[in-house]
Amino acid sequence: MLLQAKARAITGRVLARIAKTAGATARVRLSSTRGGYTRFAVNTVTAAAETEDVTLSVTIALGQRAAEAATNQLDDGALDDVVARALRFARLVPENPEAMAPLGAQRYGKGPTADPHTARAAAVDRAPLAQVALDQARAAKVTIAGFIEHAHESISLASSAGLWAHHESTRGAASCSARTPDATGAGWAGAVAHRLVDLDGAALARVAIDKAQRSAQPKKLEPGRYTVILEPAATASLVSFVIGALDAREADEGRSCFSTPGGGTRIGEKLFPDTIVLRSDPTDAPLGARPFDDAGVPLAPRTWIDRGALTGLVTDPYWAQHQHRAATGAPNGWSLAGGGSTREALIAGVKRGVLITRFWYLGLLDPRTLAATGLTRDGVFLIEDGAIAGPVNNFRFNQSALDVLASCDALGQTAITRVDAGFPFRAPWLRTHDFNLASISEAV
Amino acid sequence: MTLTRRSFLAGTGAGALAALAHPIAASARGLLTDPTLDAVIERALSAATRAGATYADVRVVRQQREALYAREDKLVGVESSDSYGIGVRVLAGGAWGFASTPRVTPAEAARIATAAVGVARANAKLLRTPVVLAPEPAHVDVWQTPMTKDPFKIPLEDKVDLLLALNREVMAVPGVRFAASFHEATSEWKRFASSEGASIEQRIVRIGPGYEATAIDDKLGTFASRAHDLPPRQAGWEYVTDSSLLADARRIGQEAVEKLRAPSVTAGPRDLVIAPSNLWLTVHESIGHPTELDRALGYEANFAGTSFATPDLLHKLQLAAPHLTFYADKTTPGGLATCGYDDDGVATQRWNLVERGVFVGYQTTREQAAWIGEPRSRGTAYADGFGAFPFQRMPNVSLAPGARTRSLDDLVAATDDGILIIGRGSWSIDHQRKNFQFGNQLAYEIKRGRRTRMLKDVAYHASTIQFWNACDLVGGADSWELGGAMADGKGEPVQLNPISHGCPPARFKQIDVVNTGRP
Repeated sequence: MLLQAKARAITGRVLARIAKTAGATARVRLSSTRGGYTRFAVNTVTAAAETEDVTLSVTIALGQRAAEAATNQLDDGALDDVVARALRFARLVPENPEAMAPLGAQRYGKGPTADPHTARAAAVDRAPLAQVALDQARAAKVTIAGFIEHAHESISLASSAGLWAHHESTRGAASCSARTPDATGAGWAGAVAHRLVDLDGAALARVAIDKAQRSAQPKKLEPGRYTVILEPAATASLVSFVIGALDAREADEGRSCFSTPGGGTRIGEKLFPDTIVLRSDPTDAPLGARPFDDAGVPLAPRTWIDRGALTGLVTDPYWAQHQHRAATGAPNGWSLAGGGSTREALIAGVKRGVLITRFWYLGLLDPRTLAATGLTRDGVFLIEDGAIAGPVNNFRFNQSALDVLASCDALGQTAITRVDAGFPFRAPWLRTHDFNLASISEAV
Repeated sequence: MTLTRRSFLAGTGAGALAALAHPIAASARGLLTDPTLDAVIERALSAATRAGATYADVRVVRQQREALYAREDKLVGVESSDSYGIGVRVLAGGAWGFASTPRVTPAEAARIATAAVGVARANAKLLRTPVVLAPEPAHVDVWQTPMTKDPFKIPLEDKVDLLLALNREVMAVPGVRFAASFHEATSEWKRFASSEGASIEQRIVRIGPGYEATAIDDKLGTFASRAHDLPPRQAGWEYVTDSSLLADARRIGQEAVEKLRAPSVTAGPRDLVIAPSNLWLTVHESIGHPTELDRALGYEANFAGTSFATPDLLHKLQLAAPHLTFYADKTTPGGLATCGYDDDGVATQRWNLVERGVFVGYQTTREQAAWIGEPRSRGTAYADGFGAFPFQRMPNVSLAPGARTRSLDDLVAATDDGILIIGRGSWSIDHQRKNFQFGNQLAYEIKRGRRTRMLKDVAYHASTIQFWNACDLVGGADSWELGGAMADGKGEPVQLNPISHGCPPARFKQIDVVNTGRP
């Protein structure tokens, strides 16, 4: 792990080398990670590892000519090489009118801090989390698989114009999937936290096993348009398409669902009900947030969809300059606000509908509408007359993510999940209507 | 300017790496002459053994990547990355342990080897059945990508010029507003050594150029994109210069514009003629993934999922029509997963997964072979870097061509009413690999044996066994093409596997077509 003093010394050595070239400007990004993971499946441990790595990335510009080189070696010879590579390529490439000068010194808000216990964690700290899941599975006579991981990470940014930013964080995640012996029931539970101690392996295993048992022997339900209740992991998967579409340049250029015919964007337009509020918060510790983006742009808490209206789009420094606007930076710490409805209240309000645990293999079908496809897995339940009627088969859906939010009529508690093993996202239980469960999936 | 730029790159075209078409005996030092490596490997293996490992392997891996990005008339990104490190994997108490470091020194090698044994011992307490490795000769060898022009030794200006020329051609088409092109080359060098005496050195070079045109209709407020279909390949720069990338650019731009005003498809069952540029991905998802043995037995149940192709169905399940044979092959020339030895040190092979339509085989590693009573691993272990734990990854999986000479045009000519599907679009399949839905780059209506108007918003949806049994015609050997992708994800943490799939064009009867514009 590269703590602040050492990281500053390394970036200083890189910048000193670049300073020898007249007219060269530079951005340096130095990241490091140390962590580990344990995998288990078919009721036994299957793999585990302790890993560490570092990445030093150097972008050198000669006027508008710029190139980036990276290495994971930090000795003097490697620093010489990475600077030489970036410089050589910068001399060879044509001018790029979009190349931006490196940022100078910035003021950043206070970000979350790393958890010392998680930073020191090792295989022996993960083993009890796996052990409790394996024990519960054996007792319940189900088959369990799961994954526990943690990491201590740092990122440092420096530039020839005086930028310095450094942030350390920790993260942990645990998840498990249970399957019934007759292979007709499957359940999943997962959690993300910045402290390993906040991950409750017993609770996760209980939920996954309970859901597997309750989803066994599903009845056939025909495809169609249903009222659906999405658990937080399912909400996060779908709404991540909305986050991905919040790009100002694409919208201004007319190739986004947030473009309007004839030019312009949908900023200011009320697209969703009042309850839909989408925020990014660089101080949100459990989301692994930090107060600056990879370019060093300071980040502040920001609302992107406020009471259903689109309030802004993510704008990088070049596009901000081009459009005479302020750069937003690339936000992190995403949350979709929850609501006051309990799980029971959400279900009680449904005459006939479907409860969905999570989705799998989502793909964007149409960037014009944010229509996406994907499949349900690990627990789908029919709701009739305000109560769970029983488990049903899985489905493929074809559905616009924008319409999911537009037709939302109730929100519940939030939870954090990693979207398709990617960024952590705090999302709520969500009820929506006319959801197109397009075909039956026989998968369990 | 040109001469100045070229002079920066010693060797350039003349420095092309000598091609090795076949593995050669490693009497020489190998491909990388770092004098500390022998000591690094020796220290790691001896430290692991001393700490109680019953088996250990070491991989010293160096990965290089060069990437360029252009949008419209400007080059907006040039990246050159280099990563180096050691990974040590051990068996102790019957359990796996792994540790890695980017510091390639004898002392670090010994430290992580001891740490890996510590990880294994922590795991052994949770173990149900000890890991047993299938026997494999201790190979001592060198292997590298056959190529004539190492892409890392080609002048940067050649790559820049190509990308800007592609964009210029695309942008010359009226109605095209945006163009994005890219070039990516990767080099994966690794030295593998095991406590059983294996010592293998390999260098694998992969290359992936491409571009996309985007057309916009301001009045309608709509847009459409068309990406070129050239797949990435294990090859040198000659793959790019021999390709039709530039010659196709105007057509690609025109097709993007045509898409804007193409009629939206009417959903319902249709006969499909699917070009190899689309079908390779269907082979990957519906044949490649379900025949991974770890998946079929539940080892990937928490994330990547399981499989309909369970061991009790071996030699029984009629997975496809009787004229179809699918094979796995880590020796396919140009295949992204092709190499001499896998990351267990097993010599690579070719074998059938589906023979005359019947499910007959799995992909295995040394750990997995005994799970289905096979005496030897199929050689499919892979780790995507020095810090990654090697596990079962897909080899190149391909559909064999038909015996009769038939082209894509012949399949169209034989079809009275259907849709021609070209290029890779959206893709999605369920976690047991049955219910799938695939988009495309282009779709055309076929009427009375002729390709007619373009259609948009087309995706086909089917269940794996139904789909492959509905195949009634395939192209011959001349129509067989190799597709592929640089990054297929599997595992926790997710690892990325480069992978190729070959197939002829094929026709499928009465497959469900979905309208993605009006879902």
